[in-house]
Amino acid sequence: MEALAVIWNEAIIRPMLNTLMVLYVISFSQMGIAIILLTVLVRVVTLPLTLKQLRQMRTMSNLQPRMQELQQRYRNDRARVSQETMRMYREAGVNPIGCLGPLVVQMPILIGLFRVLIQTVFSKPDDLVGLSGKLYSWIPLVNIHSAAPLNATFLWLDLGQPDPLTVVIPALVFVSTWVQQKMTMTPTTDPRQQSNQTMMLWMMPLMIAFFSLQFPSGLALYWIVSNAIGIAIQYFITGWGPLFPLLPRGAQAPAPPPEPAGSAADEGPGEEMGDNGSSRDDRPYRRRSNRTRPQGARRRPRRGRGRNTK
Amino acid sequence: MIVFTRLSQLALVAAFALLAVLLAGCGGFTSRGPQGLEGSFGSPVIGKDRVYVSGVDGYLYAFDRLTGEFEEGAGWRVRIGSGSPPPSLVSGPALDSEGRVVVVGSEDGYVYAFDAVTGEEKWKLPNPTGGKVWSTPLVRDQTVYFGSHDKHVYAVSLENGNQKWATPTGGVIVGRPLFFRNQVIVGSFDKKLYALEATSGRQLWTVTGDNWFWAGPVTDGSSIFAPSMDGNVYAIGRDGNVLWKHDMGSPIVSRPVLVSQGLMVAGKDGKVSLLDTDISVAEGQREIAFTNIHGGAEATAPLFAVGNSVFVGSQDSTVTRIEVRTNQAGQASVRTHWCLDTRHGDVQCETAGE
Repeated sequence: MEALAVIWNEAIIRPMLNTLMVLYVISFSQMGIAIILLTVLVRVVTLPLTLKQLRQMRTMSNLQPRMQELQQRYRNDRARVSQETMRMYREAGVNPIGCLGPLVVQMPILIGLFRVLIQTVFSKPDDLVGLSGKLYSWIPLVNIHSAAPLNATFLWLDLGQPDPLTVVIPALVFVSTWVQQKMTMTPTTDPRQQSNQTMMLWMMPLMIAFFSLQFPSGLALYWIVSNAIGIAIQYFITGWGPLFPLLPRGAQAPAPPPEPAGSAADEGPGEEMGDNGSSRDDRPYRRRSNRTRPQGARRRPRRGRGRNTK
Repeated sequence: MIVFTRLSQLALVAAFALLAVLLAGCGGFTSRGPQGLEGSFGSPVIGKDRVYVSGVDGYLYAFDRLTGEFEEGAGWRVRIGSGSPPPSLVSGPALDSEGRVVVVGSEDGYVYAFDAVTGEEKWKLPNPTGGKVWSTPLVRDQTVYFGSHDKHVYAVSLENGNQKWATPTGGVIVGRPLFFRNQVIVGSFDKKLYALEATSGRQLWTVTGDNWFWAGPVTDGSSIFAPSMDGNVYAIGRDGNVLWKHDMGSPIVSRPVLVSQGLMVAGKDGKVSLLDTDISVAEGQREIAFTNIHGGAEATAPLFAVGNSVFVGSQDSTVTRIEVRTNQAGQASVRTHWCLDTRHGDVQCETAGE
């Protein structure tokens, strides 16, 4: 247990604490800016994981038609569905719980940041005494010893305390978490999955917003900025995704109807994707007809449809 | 897919629930009621009839020296600053030489002065400093000296609180200043000990350590003894020359105290040592004797001496009385006389010293 504590302190707490101190010094003693810079740094470091997660999500999205086909084909054999699903994921190189990677990385960072905030921002004498032993003395150019204890004021916030206005920070936490959660939803026609996803879509942001009522607003600031960066990254990789029709640019199409057996099997994980993350075959344009049509060509209205037939 | 989706979602919820539990379990949440001393960071100051204590609850107390009462005219209690709850008092109180005025610093950036007898507020700083005042003030020659979180050392008039001078340092100042031969000696978080001219605030010399100077220095009249968070006690001459230093092996947060046999210093690890202050003592022979606080609790409160008894407050809410004795051969020794658990009021230990 003691060894774990040492590893935790040396691998997470001390590097993060010293990084935050350096960022604080170079951001002219603005703790809020230092936390934002730290968030950017964390997101940059975890960018490969994030990109991997987004690619997997996109691949899983593309496998939806095959999933539906499997579910229809083996609708009375759930074990077989699972078995076939696993095989399909294996073939596509997808790890269905791989999307938890960035989250798993975020966990120790969040807990570590909480501890760091206590020791640097709460600035009770007891906490501050412990800080001196955790500062690196070898950091060149920047005298982080002189920076402690940090000034926790940022905008209207004391970053070591919950938001005094109560609603603003929790609301931002809720909205940013909701948007990101919505963007990461995998399109599905399975009502059970839809219900699960809807539950998660609301429960997660509510839960985290509730936490932010209790925890230091510095932690909430980290979460909001991290979400904002996550949303931006996701937008550039997959577009707005299921946020459509709220935000139409790059909107992802609704899930296609089940295709005849065999047709979905032609799709591979490495096929060319549209900039919104859906494959060419998933585009609404193609789903209306199997015939190819040049861009800009208009479909001739069917006779009798939309007309007054009296 | 259903299985994995559920797995992922369950894992997400579980992870966040775990995060919440971990964070909540990490501490850092405290609540303070309107009543009760709730602990004290600074040392009490003993006046003619009263004992003055600054409380974590944001009040300055004047207890009757004999009965310990502060109500019904026996003493008084005043709330420092505004806000609900009032800001905690980390600074200890300080009395002027005549025992008429008691001054204390506050986390709201002000220093307050009160009538020591009635508790009536005499003044507070016309303008707050740029940071919290944790430093226990020093009152000398009608002047109040103190440091602030805004990295400045201040000298203000004891009469009305008007500023005489303010000198910047490179770091936060939390220790009590020391008056030494018309110099004000203060330690700073920039790892430096400063000597400032008492009348003008002009910087005379500095000594650099390897970590913060947290606790205030003490003097025997000819040398300054400054403890540092780098674990060393620095003995410094009048011109800022380091005479010797002794490594305690752990950061020093407590202000040391002088007894007739030498300097008593407590490390944060609970080791309390008696050091020989003689400059001619060879390195390695500096420590005369030592003892450890019962249970290995951290010693962070300033040491306090009455005769040859030294009192050490530690983080486990225990006060330990250590006796310093000299035998017929002239050899000094220390031993723990008793330790009192202030939470329950009972004596916890009675151990022999090394």
